[in-house]
Amino acid sequence: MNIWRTGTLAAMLWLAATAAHAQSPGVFDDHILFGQSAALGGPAARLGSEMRRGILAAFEETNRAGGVHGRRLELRSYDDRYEPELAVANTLKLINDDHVFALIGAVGTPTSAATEPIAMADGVPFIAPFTGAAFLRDPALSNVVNIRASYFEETEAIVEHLVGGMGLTRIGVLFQDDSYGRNGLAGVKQALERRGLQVVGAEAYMRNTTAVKAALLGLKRQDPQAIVIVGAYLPSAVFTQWARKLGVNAPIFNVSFVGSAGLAQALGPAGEGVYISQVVPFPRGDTIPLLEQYRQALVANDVTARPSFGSLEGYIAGRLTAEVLARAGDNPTREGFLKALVETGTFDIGGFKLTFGKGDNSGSEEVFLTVIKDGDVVPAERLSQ
Amino acid sequence: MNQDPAGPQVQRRRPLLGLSTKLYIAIAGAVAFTLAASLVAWISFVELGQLQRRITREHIPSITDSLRLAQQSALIAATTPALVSATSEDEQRRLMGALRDQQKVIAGLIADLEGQIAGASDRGIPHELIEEIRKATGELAGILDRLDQSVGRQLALSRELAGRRDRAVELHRRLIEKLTPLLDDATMYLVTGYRTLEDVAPVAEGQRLSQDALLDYAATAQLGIEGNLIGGLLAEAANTPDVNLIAPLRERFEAAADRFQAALGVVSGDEADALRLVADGLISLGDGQGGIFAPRREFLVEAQAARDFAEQARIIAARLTGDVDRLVAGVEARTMDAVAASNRAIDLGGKLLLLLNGIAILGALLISWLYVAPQVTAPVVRLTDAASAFEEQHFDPESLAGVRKRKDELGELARTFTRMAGEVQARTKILDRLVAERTSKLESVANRLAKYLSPQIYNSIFSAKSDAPGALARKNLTIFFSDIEGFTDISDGMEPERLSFFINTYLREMSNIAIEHGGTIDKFIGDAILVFFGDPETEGDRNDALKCARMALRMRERVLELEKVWHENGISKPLRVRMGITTGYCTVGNFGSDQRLDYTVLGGPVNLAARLQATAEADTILIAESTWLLIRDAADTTPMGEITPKGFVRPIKYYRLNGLAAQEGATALTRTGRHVSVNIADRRNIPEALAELRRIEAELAGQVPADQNPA
Repeated sequence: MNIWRTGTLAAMLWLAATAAHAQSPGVFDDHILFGQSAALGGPAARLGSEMRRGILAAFEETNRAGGVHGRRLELRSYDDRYEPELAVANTLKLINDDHVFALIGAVGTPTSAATEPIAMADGVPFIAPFTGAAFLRDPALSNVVNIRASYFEETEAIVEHLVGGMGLTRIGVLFQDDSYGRNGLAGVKQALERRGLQVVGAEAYMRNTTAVKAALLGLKRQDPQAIVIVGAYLPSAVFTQWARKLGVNAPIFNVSFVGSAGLAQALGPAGEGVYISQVVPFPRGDTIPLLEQYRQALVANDVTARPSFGSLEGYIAGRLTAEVLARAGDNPTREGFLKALVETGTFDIGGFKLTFGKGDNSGSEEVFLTVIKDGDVVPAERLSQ
Repeated sequence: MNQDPAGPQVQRRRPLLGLSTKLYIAIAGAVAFTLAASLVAWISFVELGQLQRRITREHIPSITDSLRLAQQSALIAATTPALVSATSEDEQRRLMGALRDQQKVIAGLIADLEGQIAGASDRGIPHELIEEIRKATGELAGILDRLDQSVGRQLALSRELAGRRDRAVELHRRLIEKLTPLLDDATMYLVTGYRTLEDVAPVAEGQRLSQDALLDYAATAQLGIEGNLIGGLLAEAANTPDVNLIAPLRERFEAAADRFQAALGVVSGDEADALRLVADGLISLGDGQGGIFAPRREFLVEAQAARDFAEQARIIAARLTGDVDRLVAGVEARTMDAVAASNRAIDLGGKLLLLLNGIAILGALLISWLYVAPQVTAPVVRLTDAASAFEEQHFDPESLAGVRKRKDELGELARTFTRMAGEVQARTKILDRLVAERTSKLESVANRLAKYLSPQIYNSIFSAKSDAPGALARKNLTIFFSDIEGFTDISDGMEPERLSFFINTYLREMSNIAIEHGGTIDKFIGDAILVFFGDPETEGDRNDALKCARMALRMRERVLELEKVWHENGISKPLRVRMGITTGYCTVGNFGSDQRLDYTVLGGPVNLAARLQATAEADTILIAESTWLLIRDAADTTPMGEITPKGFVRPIKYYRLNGLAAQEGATALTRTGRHVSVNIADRRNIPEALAELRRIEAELAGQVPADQNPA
């Protein structure tokens, strides 16, 4: 009978040990698994894939240095084509089937709006969603880790430049007919209202289409002095081209979500002088050490890769993740990760400062202005903080 | 106990109805009632046991089974709705499996209950009830099967529909995504005349705003409306819970589809093909079995059927529950009966037990009172009393008369006791008599003896103090000798009777005086008397001497007084005594042998006293110097010179005792309190005493108030 008892005990211990090995979900003996549901196909494909590229560059850089506490960082990505239903399905799969440690690099406002609650319910950290939607900056969302400034900050910077910098008063808005677009529109309206102004025209276009022409005609009627576009790069490009064709020469400002490289490419010659606000520094610049680190990491991962704002944002996200993990101890848990983030508070990612705290899940409020010149996106001037 | 083996053994026959037998009978009688009570209790327990067995072996299982039946039917009633709203085949299978299990359990329970009917020891479960239940479960099984099938069909349809609905939603979205740019481009063209970015010059207004162009534009717009409508209607149909809406929705769908197809003619080019593809796909979803409407309708009908089945099942389950309730009630009633019966049994048993216990106690009391007491305890008490009486010596054999008649051990004991007591009493009487005789003999002996002993010696002998013969003491004694001068002469000429009278009187008087003064009379030698003071008791040398002197004086006086008496009795010659007193150490005690002892005194002073006495003249008391030294302050004496008696070395001074002063400290009259004591030592004191008395009388009279003065 003693043998039975010992055997059972040993079996139970072994089970407990193996269970312990699983530790926190996503944390394995040799690696930690992250999940991404983003637009890797469809019109917003570039956004997702650039984000992924940047995250991987940061992860591989960390892995080459031995990982975090001996564990490699791995990323699994699913395509949701910027569609909320697919995003929900992907997220459920990542959490329940793949048991990822955290979600990182989700793309889009409507998709995030659908998937963030799922992450919240399961206590899964929602890191660096590629969106500036205001609802994600709600202090109650303690599992969300925002890297970038919000649309409100971006639109405020743009409006400041237009009204304060350029002295314009008649501002029109083209916005995508979804929560992203509406978020941006609200930001512009608020910014103008703060200056005692109002939007002269706001026209929407259907998401995932380039049906911007009716909107253009509507805005043209209002004769705006400048137009702010809250949309994707293709519709933004079509709009800009048609606008110029129809003689609407008002300065056009895009927000970062538009996808700068894609926009520049799609615009062609019509893109000259088109502004894009950014939430990360100019990736080909040298203002901070981060940029050189980023470029090296990017090339180390993929020789053909070219720097972009999207992948820089992904890189920053990946670097932050690694640094928080390093502070989360040998057996990181989801709660421990978020706790380490909040407790550390300030992170200096190669010169790019992120601050977090209790009730503050927005790491950076910096907005940069860039402009397309000769088909390239170049820094315009550094704007608000 | 030493038993003489050779001696005859006294055979004692054990009485037939001995004490032990009687006691056993008494106890047996008392126990009998207790046994009866126990028997009753045992019977009660047996009956209770039967009832309890019935309850535990029959009723309780019946109730348990019935309750489980109710539980299972309740479970079925609960599971059925879940089945109706099952969302997947897995769920359906699971729930159906559970339902079938529950049905199996019910069948098993019914079989159990039937078994219990067969084996019931009381009126049992009515058979019809079980049949009802079985019928109900059969119906339920049928309904559930049909429900299962219905749910299966439902699920299949639901799955198909889900796929088609998703497809419809997707196609709708794609359609809209395609139609919107179409309208968008058409609008741009309408307003600006440009179709593409590459167009250099816009188309003229007249052309682009022609009627046809506007109608085409309207058609394009129409496409959007109808396309939206188609998609919307399909989605609505796919989701509507109301089967009655299916037909109207379908009608509107077909109308919209027709309008759409009509408007589609406007579109041309690649876009048109892509658009047509999506549109066809969408429209086909409204068509027949491969579409949404018909299957949805079927689905809703099936759902309604399922709900109907579920409702039927619910009703049957309710009936089943009702039946089971009746079943349980029946079993409960039977249990109540059994419980009542057992209560009655307990009641009855209890009362009977109480009664029997009472009888047992009463019986025991009666037995002990009427049998044990007189048969056992009374005789024992009597015997004990007799023993006590015997101890106190007033045992009356009659008190055991009754006990003696008994034929058992107690009778024997009584007889033996009586005999023994009689013997003892007789012996005691004899002994008492003997003792009395001896005692009186002894008393007379002692009395006779007393005459020959001085009182002190007598007391000393007859008191507890025992002197060993030969215990002599050396004491300072005052010795007194006296005799009658010329007694020989007197006695010669006297008749014996007169002599005896004379000497007896003389000796008697002198003895009295000696005893009065506390002297020890040693002996009479004819007319001589030897008295000594200081043994056995002494008051000290001086007092002894004083007493002796006083005695001597008194003797002389008495003799003078007695002369008259003797004269009257014919003794004419005068009596003259001569006395001699000395004080000195003598040896006193019992002299002699074991055979013959004489308590006397020896020593020089004795001789001296005798010499003095011989020397004395008639009526003279001579005292030696040793005595004189002791009493000289109280005695009136005259020195006589010295003599040297024969045997003495030195001459001894001697004196003549004339008289003694009054007793020192002794007043003639003492008065203390209410008592007056008159102490007259001498006749001469009497007038003195009288005077004193008169004086006291006067004094006392003065103290009494005048009116009470008796004088």
